[in-house]
Amino acid sequence: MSEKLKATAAGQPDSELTKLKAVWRRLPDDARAYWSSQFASEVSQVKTRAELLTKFKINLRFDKQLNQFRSWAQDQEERDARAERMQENERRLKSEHPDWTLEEVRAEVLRQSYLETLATGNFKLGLAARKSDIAEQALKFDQEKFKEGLRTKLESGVAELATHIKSNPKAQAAYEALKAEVKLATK
Amino acid sequence: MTTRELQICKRILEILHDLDGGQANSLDIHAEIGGINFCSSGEFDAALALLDRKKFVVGIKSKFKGVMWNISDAGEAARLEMR
Repeated sequence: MSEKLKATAAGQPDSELTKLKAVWRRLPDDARAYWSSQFASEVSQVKTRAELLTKFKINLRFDKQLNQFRSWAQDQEERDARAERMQENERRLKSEHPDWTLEEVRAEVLRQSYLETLATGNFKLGLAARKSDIAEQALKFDQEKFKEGLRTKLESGVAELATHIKSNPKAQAAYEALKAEVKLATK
Repeated sequence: MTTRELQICKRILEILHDLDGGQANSLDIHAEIGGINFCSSGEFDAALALLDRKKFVVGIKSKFKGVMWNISDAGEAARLEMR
């Protein structure tokens, strides 16, 4: 993961952009909607920056700062929307499958989220989904391999037993019953 | 804190740091750190609760989005120490 520089060093006052982000996090939805519409409107950036200064005492001196903030706010909106969908999916799955464990619900919510991010072209999360699928497939393959190995050992053990009881009809009958049980268990 | 807990906490702090002051829901964070294949939901929730207790993350409850988390200054400092 690449190192992202913080806007200000520890102990120093926050930059205006960082202050605006902190204010944005605390804003109610209505206020956020108002500012989003301001950013998208035909009002000039200079006027928007002046309004931010009047209302929040945050002085963005350049248009570039406002552009950076708008890009950040857009990312945050996408995360908010995704969070809402995930919460809703979790609630729905819990009500549809009351017998599922928390782990199963979480796995399904994350799977649906991965599929959605793949569909919307979020390749970072999409890649995580692919890795997750591969890990899951590898686990299944290992389990099957283990089961296969177990079956071979059990069957060869039973076959070995048969060679020792050839002359004993009573043991032969018991052996046939055991063989049938082993066959069922290892199917 | 065990090595495993430390590993999960570190990943959570990295993801929150990458948001550059943004917030994310716990499900979203879990998805970003690798999902169920990296850690179970129990492990993840425990690590997030631990970070919350130490004030390394700040959670804000919202009506429809669940709790939205962001990293605190103490969390930023801890993240650098965990490297």
